[in-house]
Amino acid sequence: MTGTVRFTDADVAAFADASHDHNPLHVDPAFARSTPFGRTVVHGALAGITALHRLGADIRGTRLLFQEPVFTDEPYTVVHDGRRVFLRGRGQVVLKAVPRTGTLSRPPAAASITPLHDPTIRTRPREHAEITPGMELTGRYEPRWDGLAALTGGPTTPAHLALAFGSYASGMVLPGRDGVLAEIDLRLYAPPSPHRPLGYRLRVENHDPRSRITTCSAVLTAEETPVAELRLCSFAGRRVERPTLDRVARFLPPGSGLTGRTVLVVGCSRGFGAALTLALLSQGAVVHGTYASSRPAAGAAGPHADRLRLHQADATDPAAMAKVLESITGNLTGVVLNATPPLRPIALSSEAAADARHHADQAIAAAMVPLSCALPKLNRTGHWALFVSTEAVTAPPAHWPHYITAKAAIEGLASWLAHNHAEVDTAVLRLPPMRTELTNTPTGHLNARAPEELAAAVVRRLLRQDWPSTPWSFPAEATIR
Amino acid sequence: MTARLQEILMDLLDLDHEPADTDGRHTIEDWNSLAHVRIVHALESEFDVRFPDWVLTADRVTVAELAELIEPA
Repeated sequence: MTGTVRFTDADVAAFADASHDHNPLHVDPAFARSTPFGRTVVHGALAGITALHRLGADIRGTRLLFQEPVFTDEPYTVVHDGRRVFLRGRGQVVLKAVPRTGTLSRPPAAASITPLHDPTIRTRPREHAEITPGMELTGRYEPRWDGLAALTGGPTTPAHLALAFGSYASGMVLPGRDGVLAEIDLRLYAPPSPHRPLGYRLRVENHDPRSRITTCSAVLTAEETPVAELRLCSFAGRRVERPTLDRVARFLPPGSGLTGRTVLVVGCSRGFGAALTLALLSQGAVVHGTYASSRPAAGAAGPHADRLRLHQADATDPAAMAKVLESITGNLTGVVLNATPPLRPIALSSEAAADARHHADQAIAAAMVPLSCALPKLNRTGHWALFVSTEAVTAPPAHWPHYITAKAAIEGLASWLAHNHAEVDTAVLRLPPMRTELTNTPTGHLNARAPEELAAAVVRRLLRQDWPSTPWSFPAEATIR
Repeated sequence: MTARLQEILMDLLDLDHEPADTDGRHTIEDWNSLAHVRIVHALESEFDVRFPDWVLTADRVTVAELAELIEPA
């Protein structure tokens, strides 16, 4: 049995309202842009409720595995193989629902820690500085019954109720604001009295500080009678610090070597682009920085703010980029091509090829369009262009065929520039993983470098005018380590 | 020990059959980065070992390699 489903922003808003899961990853586009997902994500529980319809109404236990994010306005295929239900999109399984029987297994109990209590339903998600096994949280819960019924198209079943609660528990209570749900394993007991408030007890069973994967057990009760038992597995994201002048200065003392130089940084709002902008400013350059939607804090430039010009411009839009270049009076010494679309895993397959190609198109355009607009101003000796690539091109991750294709193409564009405009110093930066908002994943921070460190290394090369003799490699070994 | 390793893999990856020694992230579709982290954490807890960080980030790691890593335990 198969079918298709497409979630809308209205569905997400309605589920947030019905479940009380107002986690900003689902409802706040600005917050979601600062996560690895790049945009708001459909509640896993909402996708799960859709899948449950295919499993049958008499399910007493279900395990839902949220394997990849579900986005609005994208088509997903629902497949029922007789036992499991899969939601497939972008060439991969994004959600799997499996009927389960028996009781939930429990890890060895950790000592209880004094419970936190929410006497009313939360409207703002909790933020935890620390998550410790044994932590307990209790509170009251009641969905908006009519809203939940409207979403599910029928009476609210215990499974719907339990999933709505699971979403609330993970997104609003623990891990709360920085949580991303990975799994709900639930067992259903007596149906609750309709339209009555419920109680819950959440307990942290396990927390891995390296990956920040957190497993909680939860019991939902109606008048002290268990209604459902859940095991929730979530990723508790980290706080990623934005680059600062102070941290740049740890790797590159302030100086004046770039005074009188004007540089365009395409994609300056965060991560490496933000760090490089600060590093260039710290050496006296005038920096024009473009951003798509997340406006950088001008205050981050501190005493150099008067030399920072910010432009909201889509790097793939020729008219917008032409306008940015028109605003740059006088010489343009260099351009940094750093903009890239949000990166989501794609398993290359016939059904996902169009998505992969779209990503590559956007990424190539984000380098090609600004370069074509800047070239007339760059076209003279001593000026330069930096193409931001990744060392992953030499060891491509399995689910990033689109990303690697795009970066390889951008390196090809650099090669073209070096060959046909030899007067422009051209360099490719094959950067290693960095601690940025985009690598705020269970393993993304491991072995990752500070963007300020790499930005400082690049600017030191610029200051020394240390251009390699071989085309488009920068520094000479092509990879900054 | 190998049997328990297989049980953990079958549970976390929701497999119908035992994975082969040569299976790994490159052969099992659902063995994505999130599942991998959960597997590593489950094995560390079960066998009271701590894997080096490279295991957490490895794109290619097989069942046999995981078995070797927990062998001393």
